[in-house]
Amino acid sequence: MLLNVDNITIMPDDSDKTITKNVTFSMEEEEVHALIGPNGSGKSSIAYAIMGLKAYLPAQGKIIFKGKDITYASITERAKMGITLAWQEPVRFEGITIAEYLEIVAKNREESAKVLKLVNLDANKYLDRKCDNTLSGGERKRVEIAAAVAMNPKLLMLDEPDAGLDIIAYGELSSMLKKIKEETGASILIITHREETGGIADYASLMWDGQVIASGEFKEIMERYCLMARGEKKCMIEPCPKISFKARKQSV
Amino acid sequence: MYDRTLPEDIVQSAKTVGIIVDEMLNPESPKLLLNYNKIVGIKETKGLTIEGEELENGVMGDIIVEDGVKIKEPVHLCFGVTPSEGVQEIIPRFIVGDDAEVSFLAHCSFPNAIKFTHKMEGEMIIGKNSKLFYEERHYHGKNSGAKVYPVFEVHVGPKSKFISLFSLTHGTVGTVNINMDIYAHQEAKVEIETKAYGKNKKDRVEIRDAVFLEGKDSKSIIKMRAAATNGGVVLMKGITEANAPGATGHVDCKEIVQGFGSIVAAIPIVRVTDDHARVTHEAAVGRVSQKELDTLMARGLTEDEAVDMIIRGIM
Repeated sequence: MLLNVDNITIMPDDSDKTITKNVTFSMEEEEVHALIGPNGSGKSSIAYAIMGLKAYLPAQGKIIFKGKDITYASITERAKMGITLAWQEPVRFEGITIAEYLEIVAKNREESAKVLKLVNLDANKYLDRKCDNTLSGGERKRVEIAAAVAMNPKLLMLDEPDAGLDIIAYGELSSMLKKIKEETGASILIITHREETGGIADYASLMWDGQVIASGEFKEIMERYCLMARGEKKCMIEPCPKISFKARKQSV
Repeated sequence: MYDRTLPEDIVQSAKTVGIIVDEMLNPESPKLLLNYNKIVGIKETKGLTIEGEELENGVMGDIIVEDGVKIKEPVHLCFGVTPSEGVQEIIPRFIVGDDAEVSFLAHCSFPNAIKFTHKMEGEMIIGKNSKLFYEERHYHGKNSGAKVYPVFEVHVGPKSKFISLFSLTHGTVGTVNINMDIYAHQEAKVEIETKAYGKNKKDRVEIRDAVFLEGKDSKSIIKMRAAATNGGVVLMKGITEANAPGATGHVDCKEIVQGFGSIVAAIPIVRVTDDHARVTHEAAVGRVSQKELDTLMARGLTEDEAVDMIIRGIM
């Protein structure tokens, strides 16, 4: 097993409010897993907890990565173990070029150009541009994904990769994610509430009011989500079984 | 006999601050290279005269660009000292004639400073319709043991342009106190950019850049960027006085403070004595945003490396 999120509850440092409660789900190597649910259901908070952001360290529960308890490891330690996150709203860095940003992890310009190509950006046009507010939201988002991919991660978390994209970029997203999956071989955790974005996922976990209420095959979970979004909560009654990823791969 | 070459320590620190050393040491490139109080290299070019006199503790020099002369390649200036203790005094005068253009790339290197003082008393006189670009990059070693006190007075002639870029962002600072007074004549333009980064509690930087817009329609911008971490202190004062009709100026200070005991202060001072003049200012002081840190740490940098990268970007 690659990742085991075991019963974690997140409460921000300065409040007694619970963001997520007893969240449990797991991922196998090479699995693409979608964390779906409405706005405010706690999806991004789970990604931040897996990444190790101080404000999102679990009040209880464990995060196990490749058999190692990383619940209280630093962000840097987790990154060095192969965990990374492409943010929903990437920050802009004043004075830092895209090449400099990518070369934190990419070995050289050539490697940086390669990851930019994966996100459909022309290296000749972009490498020397500043990673600041001269880039559009969509461009910055692609650069963010490229920087995460450049790490050659074991676990790549994409926090709402579809947010803020125009219709053309949105249309390209699915094939871009497929390419990333094929070329990196990374396990991918996609946080989304859109069916098209999560389309490459093998499995999904549905979050509602800070809890994972079902995990299973992506399509099935998405159907449940749609029903719940329409107010038909009866789908919560039956648990959704999760077939092991290895077993599913063997059956294909 | 004194060795009339530039010591390796100084050459290496030139590389550290991004000087293209091959260009600086190229026998054909215009230059004035000093090792403490010795002139170790002078190369003039057509229309550029460099004269220097060695003093007990330093060098006094005149650098003169004749009327109508436009020098394409940068003139390298190196004010280096390798001993860890002592006092160096440099008294340069830059005279740029009318319709002339020149750029200076100065490198002040004190790589082994422990109890060392560098004083500079400079003067720049720019004629009409000319352009002078002056960039000064400092490296003070790793011991915070340098005390650096440069004072400059600059006169920018009618329709001329003066651009100054000062940076002290590599290595430690020690104590730095810079004072620059710039007088802009009719339709003159002045651009000042100053960057300083104090990295520990022994580092203290005080910079005062003052522009006096004395001529009609003269213009200026002062841009100050500073960061203090781990107890460093950086105080910057950007002063613009507009004393003529149509004069316009702007002061822009941005500073970052990070870590216990660190202090930064940005003080834009604007003074207008003509009701057809205008000066604006903006200042921002704050810590590095947590999200920026988290983003870079998620790429594998440590917190200190991430802070450093963000500050260097702003610088």
